Amino acid sequence: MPKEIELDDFIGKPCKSRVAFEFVPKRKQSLRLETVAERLRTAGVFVEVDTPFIVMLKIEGMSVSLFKSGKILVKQTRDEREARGIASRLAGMIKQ
Amino acid sequence: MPKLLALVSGGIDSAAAAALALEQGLEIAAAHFERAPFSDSAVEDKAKRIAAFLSEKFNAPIRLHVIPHGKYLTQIARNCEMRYVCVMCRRMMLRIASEIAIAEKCDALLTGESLGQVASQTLHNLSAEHGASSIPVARPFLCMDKLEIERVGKRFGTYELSILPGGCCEMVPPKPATRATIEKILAEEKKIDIAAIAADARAMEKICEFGFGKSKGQTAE
Repeated sequence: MPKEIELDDFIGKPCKSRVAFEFVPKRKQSLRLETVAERLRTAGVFVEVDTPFIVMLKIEGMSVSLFKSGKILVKQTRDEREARGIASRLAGMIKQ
Repeated sequence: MPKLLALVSGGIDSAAAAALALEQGLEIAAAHFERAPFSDSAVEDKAKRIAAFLSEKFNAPIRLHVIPHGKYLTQIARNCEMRYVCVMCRRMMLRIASEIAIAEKCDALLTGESLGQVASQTLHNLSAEHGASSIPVARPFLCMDKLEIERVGKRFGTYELSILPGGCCEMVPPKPATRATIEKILAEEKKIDIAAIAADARAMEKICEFGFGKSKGQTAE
């Protein structure tokens, strides 16, 4: 069983691909990704792909996916601390 | 000798199915649908390593067609009901693969699909996929469970390559449809330009050859 990572509003764990971490909201969510993507663009985040189901972002050079369900996937890293930092930053931007 | 076009995802089942066909003395060509940006490049690398391994193990020339699939998935996510994405994704793969198969003079497609293995691989969904390919589809693992398929992969040595790190598909919805109907899928497909997307994907296809004398492992684009 992968070790769980606790954030304030998320439960995180290594993805089964072993080169990513996923952070799932503790409470059920349904984000309006069109609005979220626009807000992130305004905040200077590079939005690579945006659809109503998933947006794909670059944050501090890292590839990150954000799902309608609120799940955050921080990719191409095995560093838990780094992934947690990126997820916290994105979660903060979504909340604003 | 009959020839099959094996759909190779980089995972356990499709690699084992291709090995099984080669062991039976069948010829194969292969197709991999790369889903960037919805999966990372490690997945495509795994498909190439599997094709190279099979070519060497069975002393068989294998031409691997790598087809971009991400643009199609983006169109589905923007325009269609996401719970049908897995069926629509497979229908497009079968559609394009059957075109490649005909060009490669293959008699049928070969997949590693197995009933119930993932939520979307149900008999209803397979029925809804029927007709996307213009040639027959061989599914040697249809009624085998995961452990049995893994045993086949371990016997041939493909298992170890298939479990190397590589991203999952990010387009799989939390609750994919398990009882899709062909009528519903055709209605969803009408929301996007299937023919144009398929033609674009074919135009951007890359070909890697393994076991063709000096050209082994080369990429012909």
